Amino acid sequence: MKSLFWRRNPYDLEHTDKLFLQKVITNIVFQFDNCAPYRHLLVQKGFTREKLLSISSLAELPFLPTLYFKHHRLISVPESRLLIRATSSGTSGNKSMVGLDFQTLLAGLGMVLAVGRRHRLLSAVPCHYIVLGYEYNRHASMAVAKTAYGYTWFAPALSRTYALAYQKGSYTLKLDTIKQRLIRLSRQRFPVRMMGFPFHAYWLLSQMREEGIRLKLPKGSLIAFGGGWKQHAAQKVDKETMYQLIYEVLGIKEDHCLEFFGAVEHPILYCACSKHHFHIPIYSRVVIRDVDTLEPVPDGTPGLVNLITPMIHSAPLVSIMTDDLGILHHGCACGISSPYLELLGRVGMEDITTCAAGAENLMKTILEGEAIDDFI
Amino acid sequence: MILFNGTLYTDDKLDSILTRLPEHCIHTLENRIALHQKVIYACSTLSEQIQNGIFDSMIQPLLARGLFTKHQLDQAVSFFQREHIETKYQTELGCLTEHLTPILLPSGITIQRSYVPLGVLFHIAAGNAEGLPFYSVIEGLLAGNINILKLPSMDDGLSILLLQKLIQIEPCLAPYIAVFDISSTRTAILKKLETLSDAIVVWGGDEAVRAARTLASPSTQIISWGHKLSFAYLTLDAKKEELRGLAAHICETNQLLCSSCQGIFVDTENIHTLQSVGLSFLQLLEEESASYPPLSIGIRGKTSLSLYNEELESATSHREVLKGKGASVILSYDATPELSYMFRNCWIKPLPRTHIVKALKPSKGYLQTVGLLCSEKERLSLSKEFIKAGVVRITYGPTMSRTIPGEAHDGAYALRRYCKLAEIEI
Repeated sequence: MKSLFWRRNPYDLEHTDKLFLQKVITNIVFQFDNCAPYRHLLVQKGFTREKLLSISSLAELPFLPTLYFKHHRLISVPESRLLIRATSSGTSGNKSMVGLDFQTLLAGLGMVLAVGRRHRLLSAVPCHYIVLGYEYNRHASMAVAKTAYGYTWFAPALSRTYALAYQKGSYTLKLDTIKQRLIRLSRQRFPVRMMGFPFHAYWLLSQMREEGIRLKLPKGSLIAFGGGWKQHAAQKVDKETMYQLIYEVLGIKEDHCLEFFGAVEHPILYCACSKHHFHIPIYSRVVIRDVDTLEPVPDGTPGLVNLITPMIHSAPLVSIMTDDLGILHHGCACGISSPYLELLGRVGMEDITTCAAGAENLMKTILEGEAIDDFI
Repeated sequence: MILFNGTLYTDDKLDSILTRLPEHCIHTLENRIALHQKVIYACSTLSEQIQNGIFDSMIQPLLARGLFTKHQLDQAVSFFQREHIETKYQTELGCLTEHLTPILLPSGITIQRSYVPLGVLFHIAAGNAEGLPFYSVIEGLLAGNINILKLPSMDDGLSILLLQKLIQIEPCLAPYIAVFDISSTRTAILKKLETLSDAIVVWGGDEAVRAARTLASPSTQIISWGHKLSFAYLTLDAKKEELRGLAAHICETNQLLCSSCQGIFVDTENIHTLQSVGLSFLQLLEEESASYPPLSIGIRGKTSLSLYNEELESATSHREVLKGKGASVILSYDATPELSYMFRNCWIKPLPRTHIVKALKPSKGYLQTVGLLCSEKERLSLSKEFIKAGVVRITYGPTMSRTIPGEAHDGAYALRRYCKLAEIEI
């Protein structure tokens, strides 16, 4: 079978629908045979493969909510075959743990190369990396640390500087080091690539602006965000404000600001286009579902985001339901024809909290002690 | 924002105010006056001002956001009216202080006993209820204390505004109120405030209380208003109207309060009876839910996901999900009280009356209100069973979250907890 994951154009949905469907069916059959809880799901929901006749019937596929993975660890291959174990950053309590085998990683490599090439991330020009997050080390299982580290391989690395440096088993916040490093790097000729959560970048850059720091990073410098605002949603700023701040402080223009989106339970690389939209790549399809009935809704209607991919071999992640709300749109001026996903935020209680939740979250940090918790 | 000695300051003045605070506390203690009359006057004036719409520009947006209903606001405002707050003071403390005349003990010693304020209270308030930080300080003031308040991080300024207005009405309260808007992560500052305090008053769940204990030195008292659980108890001869009233209570509070009904225990051992109660209560919940404002898409999405997940787990959890429009009931066969998914989703479990104490005792410390739906002749005997198990408040179904002045809170009078007995030998 022709590979879905080693194609040049990552957004050619039209010519890959059939292949995608075949891959999904192969994946379901494999998961059915090798993962008992998944088999139970399909039986409970009365699903048979005959229901998947065309790409439009993908919504028929039963889904597992990400919530389910927080209480169950599902794998479909022997433990010894798992090469990477990744956990979600667990901002709202329990963490999910997902293991990836060689077959999955190989498919993932094809995807990363195609998306990286398309979004001008792949480059032979060496650069300096600034990661506003955890320093990579063998012991860390957090997916964010791994993704950030992976990102530092798109172009040859001259150096890697981390805001949260790993020393003797713990992390230390080094914001001043990052500031000094950026100032120094602005005076040399190699481009700088910065990456992290948007709220970290916002804090750092706001602080630098207050201190009157105005830099012009070398040509070709990039800044990339991923992971959303999480528990800092209250401080969320609109994209325009953010790009303006980046340009003012670092001299990086809007078209060199990249955004990523992905999840531990759905490790597909979504990279925003020049219009800042997350287009659906050929490796996945998205179904938006009604918040009450969980039935599919027409494009343009907000609902729960159900992500489908046949990429993961080692676990039944073929159709997962996130706890995000989103809208699927068509027609973007950037030239990519595939639909794009607008994320509206997490489901939940917004600014209402219960008797229990409120103070608990606020006070947890006292127990843990340091301001560093705010930086996770 | 900082409120100190009646003046608002920006956060950059924090260090200088913290430096002045210890001396300020000593000075205020040295010149301590009786506060309760002043507090009662200021509160009643403030509640009139709110009723007259003076704070509408602040309150209306909060109402519009659905943070509380008009009914809940009216209830809160009426709480600060003169007669109510006076009743509260009189019931909790006044009745004790008035009769404390010198006593001649059989040993020939005469002592003068009196209830005196603890001194300095450090309030760490939760962000879940609008105006709660304000309320906590009022209780501290009524008992005569100096109050240091750490605002919750999600505070929208309502409490600080109300306290400032209170001081404008009664300026002599100014030295007794200090409000800081500092993050929970600034442990060094919190520690400094703790050192000045006789007690930490903490509102919140287990984590919050544990954090306060970590913060406090052994000589500082912890007064916790922890997270509580409430539920209804139904015998089979309860009236349908009362069940409907309970459904309305669930929809009105969205099960967010400590006194909100999370689920219903039914006096039965029969699974079929439980199922039929579940189905008929679901219908009532659906009907009532339709007459309350619809929930946001985010909350509905979260509920749908939780219920879908429940269904996936049902094979091993032995719980049965009954889904309705805008409401749900989960039938479960254990007898443990627990948090529901809230927002008009409740559990129903069997609990024969003979098992009440045994089933509920393990949840000691978390039990608050039981909405008792039964025949009048059984009311008292059933109530006693719940009280033996540790429940402190027994109401009818529809009134689980009502408040009345002078009512104890989680089994205690706050004002008494904020005081201590002093004895002078004369």
